Amino acid sequence: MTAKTRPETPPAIQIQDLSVTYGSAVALDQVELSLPAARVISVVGPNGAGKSTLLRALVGSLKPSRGTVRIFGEQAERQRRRGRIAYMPQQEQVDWDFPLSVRDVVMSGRYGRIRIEDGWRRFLPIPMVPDRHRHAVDQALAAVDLDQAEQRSIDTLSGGQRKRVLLARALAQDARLLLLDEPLVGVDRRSEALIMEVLHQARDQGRTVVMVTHDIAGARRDTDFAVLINRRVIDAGDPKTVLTDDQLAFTATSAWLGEHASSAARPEPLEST
Amino acid sequence: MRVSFLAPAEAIIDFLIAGLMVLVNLLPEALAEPFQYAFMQRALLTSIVVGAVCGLLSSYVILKRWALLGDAISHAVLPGVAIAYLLGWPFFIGAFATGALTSLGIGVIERNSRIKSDAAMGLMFTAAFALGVVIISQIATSTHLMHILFGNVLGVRYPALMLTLAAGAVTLTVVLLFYKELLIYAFDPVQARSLGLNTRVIHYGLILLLTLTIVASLETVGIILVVSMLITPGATAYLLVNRLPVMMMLATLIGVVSAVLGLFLAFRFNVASGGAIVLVATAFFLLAFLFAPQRGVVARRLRQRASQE
Repeated sequence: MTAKTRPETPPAIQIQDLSVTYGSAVALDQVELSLPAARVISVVGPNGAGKSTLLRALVGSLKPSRGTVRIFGEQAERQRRRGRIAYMPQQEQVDWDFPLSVRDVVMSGRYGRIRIEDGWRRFLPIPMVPDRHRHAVDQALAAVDLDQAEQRSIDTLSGGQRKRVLLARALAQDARLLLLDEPLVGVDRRSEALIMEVLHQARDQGRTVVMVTHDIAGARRDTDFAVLINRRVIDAGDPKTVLTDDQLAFTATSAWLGEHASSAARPEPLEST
Repeated sequence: MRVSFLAPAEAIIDFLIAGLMVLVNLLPEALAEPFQYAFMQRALLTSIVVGAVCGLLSSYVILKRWALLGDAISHAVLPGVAIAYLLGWPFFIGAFATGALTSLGIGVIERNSRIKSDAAMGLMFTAAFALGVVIISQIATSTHLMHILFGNVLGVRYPALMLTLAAGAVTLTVVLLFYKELLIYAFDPVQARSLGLNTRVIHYGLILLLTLTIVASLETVGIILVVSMLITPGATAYLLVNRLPVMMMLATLIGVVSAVLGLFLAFRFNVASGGAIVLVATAFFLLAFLFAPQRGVVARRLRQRASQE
């Protein structure tokens, strides 16, 4: 597997001693993690394990209580300002009644590039931005098979289409790192296959993809690197060795014990099929 | 000194009014007649600018679900205006200071207690408002208080008109130049962070624009009714169209038409101008609520009936 053939590439993400707390609740506890570049990486863990929190710390939308994050060897914020990091939220995080068309949303993925590359023209209205941004949007729409739906307003889209719009927005950004929060939840088989194909293409172009997922079988099959977390990193590496039934059962048990320390019943292991 | 500073600004205003009057004189005699008075001409210009700026910002207020926040800021502005009056500062500085302090205070209460944001807002803005009422009752007559609370567009003079124009120009410029940043921030603030945008600056920048608009609207509709102008045009447009730029333009247009029509009716029937303006805006909302082509109550009933048959 490609995961071991290019050890010389510097890591895409280097996390040291990262802790995040919400009030008195600890969401992430002293996370140490090094993620390889140009891979599709799955982040797996039980509910409340801090998967989305980890993504948000990388995106910069929440402030860690301690620790550092370096992305492509630089301070994370510098990479953000250079438009290197694209983000795809969970579907419920976005207001789908917002008066935008599919194309409007995908075009918003270009705003970072417009700010960085276009000098004073960054202030121009959208219809007047340079053509290459429109081409990038066309390509991203075609990649997720939404080019026919580009004028539809987003409140009319199905669940799978909503995921694909958000993915297209991330693709249009032309970032080196894609952070995807549960891109496969609630989509039909066809959309799922399409999304994974797009992510593999992105990897083959040298991009790094980090996705939170609950689909263990999919993560074993379709991703190059897996991170198993439960507030701390349990294990990280080849999905086939990280996502074993034993490790998953152990993670589920420790998560469950953390919440119900006094009870004696056995928890169910994480879904592994 | 003062005269030389004000003269060019007055010239600009006179020029704008002259332009407006060319348009007004195209109207039938009965409609144009009230605007032969100089005070009505100033009121017309003020109403147009206030209607436009409030309408423009109301789109963001609706989409960000900031209606209650707008209410809070508008009330919180009162003590600032009073203190600025006492110290001889421009109204805007005091208004922004207390407006911003109140919105910070709301955040502090939310983060440091189990009180939720609606109660935190209600608590903070009524307290600020009460402080304003107490200060004003010490320094001015109740007529002044009434004018600040409910507006007195027929009494607008050059300095207030200039402030309104300047606030309108600043808001329009910022919204045009930073349309993209505001859109990302409103639609998906987490994505805004992933691009390295400073969402805190955008957040408080938008609050600053709201405060500026509220202060600029003091004379026209007053700080109580300005909330309506920051909600109703946007809500109406939201029911009618599906694209953000169109929604913003339509909300601006509805704001302007409501303000002008309300002003005319206030003069005709000798009623309070602020109230008349807000009632016209509300009438537009009701029309859209009932008869909007897709989302209106009537259209939905018809569709339901059609699908049942």
